[in-house]
Amino acid sequence: MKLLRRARRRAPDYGPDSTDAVLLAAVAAGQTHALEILHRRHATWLRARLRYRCSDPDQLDAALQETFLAVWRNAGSFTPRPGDTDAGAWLWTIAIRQLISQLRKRANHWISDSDADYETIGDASAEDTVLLNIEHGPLGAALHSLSPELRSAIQATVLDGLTVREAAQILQIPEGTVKTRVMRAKARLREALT
Amino acid sequence: MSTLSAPVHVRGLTRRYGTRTALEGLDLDLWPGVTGLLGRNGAGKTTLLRCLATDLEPSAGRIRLLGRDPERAAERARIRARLGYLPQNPEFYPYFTAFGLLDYMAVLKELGGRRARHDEVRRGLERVGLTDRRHSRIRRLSGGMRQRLGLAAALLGDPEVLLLDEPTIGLDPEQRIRFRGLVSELGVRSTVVLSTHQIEDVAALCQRVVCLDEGRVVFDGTPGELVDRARGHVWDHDGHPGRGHTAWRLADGRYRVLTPTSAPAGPGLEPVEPTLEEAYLLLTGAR
Amino acid sequence: MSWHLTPAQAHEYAHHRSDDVTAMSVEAHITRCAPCRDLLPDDEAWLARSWADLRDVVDRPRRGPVEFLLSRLGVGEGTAKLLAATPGLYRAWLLATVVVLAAALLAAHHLPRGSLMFAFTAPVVPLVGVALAYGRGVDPAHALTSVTPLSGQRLLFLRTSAVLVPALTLCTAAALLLPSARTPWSAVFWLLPALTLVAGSLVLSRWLPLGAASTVVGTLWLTALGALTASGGTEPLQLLAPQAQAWWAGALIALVCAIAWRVRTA
Repeated sequence: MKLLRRARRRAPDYGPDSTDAVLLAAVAAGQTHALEILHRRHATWLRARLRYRCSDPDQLDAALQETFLAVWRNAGSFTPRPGDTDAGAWLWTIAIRQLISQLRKRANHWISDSDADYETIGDASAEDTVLLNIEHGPLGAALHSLSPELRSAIQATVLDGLTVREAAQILQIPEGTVKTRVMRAKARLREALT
Repeated sequence: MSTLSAPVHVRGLTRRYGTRTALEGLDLDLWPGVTGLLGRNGAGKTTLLRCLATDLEPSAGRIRLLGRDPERAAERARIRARLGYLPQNPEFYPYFTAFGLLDYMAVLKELGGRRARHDEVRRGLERVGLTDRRHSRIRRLSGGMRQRLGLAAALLGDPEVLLLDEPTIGLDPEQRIRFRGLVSELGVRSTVVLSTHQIEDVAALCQRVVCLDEGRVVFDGTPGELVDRARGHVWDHDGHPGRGHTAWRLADGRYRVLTPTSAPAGPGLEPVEPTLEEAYLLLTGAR
Repeated sequence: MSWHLTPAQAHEYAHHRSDDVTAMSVEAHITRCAPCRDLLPDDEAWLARSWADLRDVVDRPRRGPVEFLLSRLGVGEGTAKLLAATPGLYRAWLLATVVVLAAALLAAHHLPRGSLMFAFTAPVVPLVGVALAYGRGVDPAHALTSVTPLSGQRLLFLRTSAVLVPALTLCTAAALLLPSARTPWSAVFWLLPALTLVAGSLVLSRWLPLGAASTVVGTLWLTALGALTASGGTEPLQLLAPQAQAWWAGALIALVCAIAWRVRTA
């Protein structure tokens, strides 16, 4: 069925310089070459970024492979925001979740595999705009002063946009601990900024 | 080196169909490089290629391919593993896809497990520019595309002996240039035999030319040597030289004349440097 | 955006040498900034490998139903491909077989001595199928495939088994529907002759094209039956009687030995 649907959709014209949105439309129409261009464009940074969260190269490559397979299957679900055709953020949310499921596969003896309702904390995009300037602003110093535990909690929830449950999985700590660490970290940062 | 035999070694090859003799007492030694096989229709080109491809058994004579004897079944299988053959007007299963056909051929050629085989199939499709049509059914491919598909099938696994029977039929100029690139690249390592009517392909590709006529070798040498033979037989003339001459009108209004005997320059006859095509015409037309 | 990565920062980050805070700021930035993403150095070898792995999954051709079924039954992937790829005439044969067997059944039920038709045709059905499954003339891609290492004997026997399985199944089904079918014996009385004829044509194909070999064997069979019917002296069904089956079995064993010997020396 999927193949039929793919065949019916017409692929837009695309090339190595096309935007992510055009390429994803082509991927949705079954163009493997468009997927190749996307892979070439995004695999390197996604891999580098995943590497800061997982040191096992095999799991990392597996997660990346699954990421692009998910892109292949779900390219049609990408909806670009007006004026922004870049799929970086969208790809990252797929990649980090694929990494989590890879880690879960390897270590599912302590994580339950249920897909209960996800709970998000914080407004990631608003915080992101702040974080863009952390190297130069007072927030940078504040982040430096945070303990590694609080920093990684902020990283997982704010930067990576994970839910509390997902953050707990990737950090391998209970969900309650994630919540308290995020709250404490945010309080510290707010203090530093005022 | 002298103890090594040629990858394609033929002695006294004769092939008869009933009472008709298609090949008669052929001797050939072919080495890595591209050899052009020229000759009129019915000269025995296809029969020779089919014999070399282990498809036909000789009526008499001896063939050794890659140092092995194709008449012994066990050695024949070994030869076939290292041999690529594009038959004249190749036919396919029309309901196969391009990918499926090459994959099927790759299974028959025993090119490893699924992954290795698929990678080789993709490389083959890429080589002949059919990647975009890989999942199209063969019945929906144009004649030129089918020809390229046949070529890709022959090239699978980079064979050491590659036999191509009229491979450029149906190819447009761009594809022909691409084909030349592919074949010349393979000719560095492999022994390639190219049967063709396209003299330009021979001129562009072949280090060696073998001309067949009525089942015999009438010329075997470099393209340069073939041209040398024709020197003194090709002229430009102001008017038509009259019946009995091979001649045609050129764009500038003069006539190109081919003379089988090295006749002395008559009035208005101006000697010209022969092309390979003219040399070939003289060779076959003079008989 | 107020700042961008320096090439040095990109390099540090890509090689996993940035400290936590720098990494966080780099990440926040490159999520949205394509030019800075491109500053990260590519590992070409890894990219090519990674893409090859990915392509192998997204660009795998769909398997046909027969191939899928065969794989499910534990047939090797390559062999399944070869078995599934039978030439077009084979399908026509399958259809013709159904028609002929249906006609034979009709005859058996409605004509006196009508079951003779089944006895005549059932042993020939697999033979015709084998003749149509391999060789120049019936296999359009024969010229292309005949000079591959797997072609010849092996492909011939694979194709033969691709024919025998449906042929024997169909004939057995038809035999069970015969009016006289009451015992297991009456369902399989044609089996040994059928196999013997196929084996005979395979042995003959050493010297003749397979199609010609099958024609010779099939003609012999029909002539023998016709002669017996015409002479009136002996019942043609004698050829299929239990006593005759021993002869068929003997002939089959001899022919199979000949084939095995040929494969061995091939």
